[in-house]
Amino acid sequence: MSDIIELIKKKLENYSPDVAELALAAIKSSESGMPENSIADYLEKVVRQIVRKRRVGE
Amino acid sequence: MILRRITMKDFRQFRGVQKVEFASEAENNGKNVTVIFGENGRGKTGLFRAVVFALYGERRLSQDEEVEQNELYLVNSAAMEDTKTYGKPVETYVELIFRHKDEQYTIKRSLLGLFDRDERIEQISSVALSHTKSDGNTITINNPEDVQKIINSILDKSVKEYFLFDGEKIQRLTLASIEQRKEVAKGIKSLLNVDALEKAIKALQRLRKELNTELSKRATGEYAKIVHQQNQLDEKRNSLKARLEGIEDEYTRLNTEKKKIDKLLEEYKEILHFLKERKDAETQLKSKEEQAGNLLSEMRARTAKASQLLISSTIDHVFNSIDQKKQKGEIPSKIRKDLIERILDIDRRCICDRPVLPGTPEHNALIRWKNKVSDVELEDSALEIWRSLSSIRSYREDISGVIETLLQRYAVCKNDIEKLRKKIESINEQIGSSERKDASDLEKTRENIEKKQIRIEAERMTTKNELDTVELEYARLSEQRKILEKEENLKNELSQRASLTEDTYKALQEVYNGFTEEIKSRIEAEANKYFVQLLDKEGRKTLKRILVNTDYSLQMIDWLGKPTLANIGAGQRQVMSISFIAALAKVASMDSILEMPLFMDTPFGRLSYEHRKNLIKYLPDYCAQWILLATDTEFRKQEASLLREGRRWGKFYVLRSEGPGVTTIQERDIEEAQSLLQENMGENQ
Amino acid sequence: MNMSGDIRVRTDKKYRSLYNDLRNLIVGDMHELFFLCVCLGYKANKAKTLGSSGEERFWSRTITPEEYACYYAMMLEKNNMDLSSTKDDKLVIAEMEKYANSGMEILLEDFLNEYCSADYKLDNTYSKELPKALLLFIRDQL
Repeated sequence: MSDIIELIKKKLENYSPDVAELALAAIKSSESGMPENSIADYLEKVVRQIVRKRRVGE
Repeated sequence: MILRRITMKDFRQFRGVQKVEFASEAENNGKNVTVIFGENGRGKTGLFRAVVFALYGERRLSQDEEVEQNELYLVNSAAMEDTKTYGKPVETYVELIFRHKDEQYTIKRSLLGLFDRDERIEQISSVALSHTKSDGNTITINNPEDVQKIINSILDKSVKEYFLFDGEKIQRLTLASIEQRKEVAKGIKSLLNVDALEKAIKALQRLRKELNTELSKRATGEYAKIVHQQNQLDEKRNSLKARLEGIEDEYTRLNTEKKKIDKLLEEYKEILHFLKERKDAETQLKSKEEQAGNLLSEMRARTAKASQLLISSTIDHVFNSIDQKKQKGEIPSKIRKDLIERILDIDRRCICDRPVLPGTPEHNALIRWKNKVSDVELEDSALEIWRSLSSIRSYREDISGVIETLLQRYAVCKNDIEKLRKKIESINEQIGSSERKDASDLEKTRENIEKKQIRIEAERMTTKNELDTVELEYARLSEQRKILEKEENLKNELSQRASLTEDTYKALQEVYNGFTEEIKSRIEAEANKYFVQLLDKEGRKTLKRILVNTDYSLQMIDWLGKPTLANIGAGQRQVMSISFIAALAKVASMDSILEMPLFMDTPFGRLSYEHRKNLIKYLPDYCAQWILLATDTEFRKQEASLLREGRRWGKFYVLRSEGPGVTTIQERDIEEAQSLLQENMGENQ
Repeated sequence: MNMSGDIRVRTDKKYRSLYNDLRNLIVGDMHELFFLCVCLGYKANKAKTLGSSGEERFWSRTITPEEYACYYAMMLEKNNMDLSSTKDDKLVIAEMEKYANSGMEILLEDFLNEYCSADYKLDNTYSKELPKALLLFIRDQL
């Protein structure tokens, strides 16, 4: 339900952007109907991307 | 979702085409209460099933978990019998018209019922959803998946269980138990529809575990130790959670078993009087059989005397002959034979000394006498015979009488035996061919189950405590890990990934808990508002408020701040669960998350007059629509009167049985209710 | 009445098992069954000689005074009330044996045939209600 997503987005504003990004990616992928282990694999890639971006920025 | 009208054709008990129009504020001048009235078994739940079927295509309700598949038919059985005769399949459908956000929807779901040889088959044939928008345009969707998406977006199917509150659900909520917690948790979670969120959290958990495992292989020193410890704790946590789930499942399974036993005990009670009757009959039968046996023995003892009757005429003849001789003085003879012989053969002189010579008249007279008399021995014998025969003759009538009586009594006895045997046979048929288990066995089993449940509950507490300890320890280690990471300035990419995953996991957990906390507090607040309104004077003196605990259990707090759920009466418990249910419905409709009608199986049973009055007065305000499923034992003149006074009662339907498995729905004027309903039984006003 | 007790009363040997089986079933003892058969034979005026097929069955001391009185009565009637016919118990018993022999045939033909096999063996299936059946049979003969 998109209403819930909006509410979650709002709550995640209290956390760091990286956490918010990963969290949203997790929710969106589970909403799409992917099975749990596929989501985990997908998130693994997302985590790598975020950390790499961070390190590049350092 | 505001229900407008439902039309059913040959659905469940509803033969032919049957309609119900639901009262709604918009259409019925602020009246939103619909009463569906009928005896138990007439189809009240059938109406709810029709709604669920129309919206989701589902046949099963949660109450059906113990029902066999072959008892879950949706097509009317009487209509199915017709197909047997005419060969045409039965077309069943349910059409539901409802409004949502000021737009009208009509969903029609059809089913075909037919026989394949003797097997009954039902198949969904089609579904169609028409949506009339506010601009007047109507679109129709026939693809089942698309239809489902739209319906779920209006009212998700996980919430369907909350449309209907029956006695059982209310009961589950009133007792502090695993079941209560499950029920409450389910209610709250289904409101939020946070499946996606839960799935996301699980996925992050999985990722975290993978990263930590890798980390523990590659990290060194103190850091490695901590990661390793956390991995172990993670394993332990998972196994404890699994154990908790296992415990809850076991508890639920035991409850199901208990219910089965309760059902058997109920049935046993029903046949109790049959069993007693049978026992009495068997005792009587035994006694009669003994009696018959005794009578046969008596008959056997009479055979000899009965045989005498065969020669009655001989006995009479001989008796009479001897008797005559007696009368004549011939037996015993007045003159002894040996005296006559002496006179004739030895003395040849009479006792008067006159000579007695052969050929003389005196000699001839004496010869005649001699011929008449017998030996003394024989005479004595004859007399004895006479005496015996006299005795036999004297009880002859008695014997005849006795024999007749014995035969009659035996015949009556046999008749009684036959009757008793037939009675026992008929009782056995009524009880059924399987012998019921002894009730005491069943009760013992039930007791054991309850004991087991207490043990399980204790285990649950211990496991929960263990889990809490593990969580604390994990959190402590996480803190340490963070410090170490900072101190050792680990820029290692792997640890950063692990860290990010961990933080995100925690964040989502917090968000999730935050939601549920928020909802819980809102529900608690609303529940308490209603509770205060519904509770009677007595209750308000002692009970302060309802508490929804973090573990989702419900508790009642008194004015001293002490938990008191265990001490409150049945009526008050019921009011508590109704307050919770109403709060759920209210919170669900806030923020336009969802608006749902409330089907309630008459909840009046255990409520005092004041409670009933309050319920009828306030509940129509708690929800968008209140559909009351009422039985004749619970909904009477008084309740009807209260509803009318509340001015929220818009529609009244009566379910009538037209025959086995055939129910019709008749709309009636609310004013008629008084004449249709029973008087209340002497309750306090 | 002499009522000698030392006479061996005889019946046809083919009725040996019947006498055993029916004792305690429809009668208390053998003398009662014998008495019944005598009465049946006498009533039908049939007296069949035993001859070589005779076999000792029971002692005459078991015969009751009433039964003896009936036997004497039958002898008297048959012999025109001649008291001397009751003098010799051996002769009385011999006469009664002939009546009993015929009487058993009547009993078998009109009553026991339903409950017996060809070789005079009693079928136990029906035996329970025999006393009642017998009383009815006797009643029907009256």
